[in-house]
Amino acid sequence: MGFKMINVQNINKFFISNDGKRIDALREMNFHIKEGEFISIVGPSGCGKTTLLRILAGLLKPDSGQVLTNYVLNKKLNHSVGYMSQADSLLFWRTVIKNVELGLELRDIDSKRRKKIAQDLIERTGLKGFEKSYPFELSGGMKKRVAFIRTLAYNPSIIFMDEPFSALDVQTRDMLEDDILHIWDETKKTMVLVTHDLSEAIALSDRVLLMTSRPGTIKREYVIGLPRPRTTEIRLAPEFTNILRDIWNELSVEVKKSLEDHEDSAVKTKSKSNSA
Amino acid sequence: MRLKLNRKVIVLRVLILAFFFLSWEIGGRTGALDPFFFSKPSDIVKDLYGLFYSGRIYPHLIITIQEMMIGLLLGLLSGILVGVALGKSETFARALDPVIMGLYAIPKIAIAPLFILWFGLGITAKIVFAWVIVFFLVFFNTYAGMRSVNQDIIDAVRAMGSNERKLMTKVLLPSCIPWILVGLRASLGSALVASIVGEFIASDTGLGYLILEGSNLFKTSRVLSIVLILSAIVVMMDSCLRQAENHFLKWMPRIRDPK
Repeated sequence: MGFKMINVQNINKFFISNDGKRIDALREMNFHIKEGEFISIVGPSGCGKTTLLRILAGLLKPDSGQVLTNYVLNKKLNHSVGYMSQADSLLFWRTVIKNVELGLELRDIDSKRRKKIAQDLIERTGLKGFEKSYPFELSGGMKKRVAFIRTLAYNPSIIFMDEPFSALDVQTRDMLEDDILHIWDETKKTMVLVTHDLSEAIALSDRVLLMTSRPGTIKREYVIGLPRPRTTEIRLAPEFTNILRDIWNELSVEVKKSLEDHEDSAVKTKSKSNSA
Repeated sequence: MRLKLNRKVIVLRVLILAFFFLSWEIGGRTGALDPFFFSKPSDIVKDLYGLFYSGRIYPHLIITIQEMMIGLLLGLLSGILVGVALGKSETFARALDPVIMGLYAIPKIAIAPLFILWFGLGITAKIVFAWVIVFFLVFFNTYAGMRSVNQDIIDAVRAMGSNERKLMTKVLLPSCIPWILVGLRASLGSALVASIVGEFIASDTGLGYLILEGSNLFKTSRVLSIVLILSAIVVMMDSCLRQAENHFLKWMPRIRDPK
């Protein structure tokens, strides 16, 4: 496992809420991601996971601090990243194969090669026969699969995933996670996954970063030493449970904190409206 | 199942139309409806036959369709262009908002005489009038389409390495197509209305002119013949548009033709 592919240095990010207050989303974050590593970022909801991922992918600029990708500052959008969002972002007016070809089209690759690459990925992920289908004709799991191979098709050096499977049923999730494990074993691509599901994070990753409640920063880092190649059955191993318990305990502290914050602000607004 | 239902619908349609025209005809012949004011289907058919047989209708038909089509085309192109441009630049759109709303709020028919004043008695005035009307319909729809493009898709495609030009051709424009088609559908009838109104005000050819002439001479059959032709034009263009929709909106669950 190679050099530090992504270097996050002292990044801060804040937003202005609707009532004009400054909300700190991320505070003084520092970490790195190595080439070929599978990293998961977990944390209580609202801790800024998605914000962090968007900054890493270059879709958002931090207010201070910097992100270096391959020792180069993220200034413009990095063109060799894959980004898979929580929402369904397939182009719904394109067929499955045309969706998979999109990234190659953007790189002006000729249609013959495009088709070949797309067809190959479609067959490898069990989507054969659906090439000419439109997204509305697919199940949720199949859509995610198309979105995933669409990202793989143009061979990005790093893939960011933002809770890609949160809306799926457990069986479909397991299947897709196995797909990802399998493809990671084959390609050893750098992958960064944001999730609220600890067991997903542990099963897939080499390292899990735990974020604090808002303003988010890295609280702890867990190296997952579980043997590879893995499948999702790793969840049944006793070591898995130990790691899960460790992280779970830490995480629940943060979740409680973030809930208390919510209650605090709820009480505050209530007393405000009472006095007014 | 579906086919059977369709046949039922067609039979019902024919029956309803037959009933309507038959009672009209009978009413006209028995004197229940005064043919002087209401004409009757047989007279209209006779008049239509005469118009087409003598060839008298063609110059009028061609002029009106020309006005409508050129107006439609110009309105469509400029509406898409301005809609996309303003959709891209929010600042500009907000700056122009009062101007556009102000122009839109003017009842166009009220200023139709102005167009005759500006562009003369010929075909130009009617084309520009139709153009203006179509422009607003297409523009508003395209603009709404641009505003409603899914941000997740834009993010994803940007992250895939798209530049702004490709984002436009591969994401923004295709997502606007359904909106543009809605604008276009509304425009078909409006463009025809614009050319007819223009012809009412000042012209010596065109279907609007024929209607005016017919009503001045108390030829109810003539007026209704032309009205029938107008309605046929819109129906035909609408069914062409439907074909186009079926082609462009294959990805929509609703629009797909029943198998």
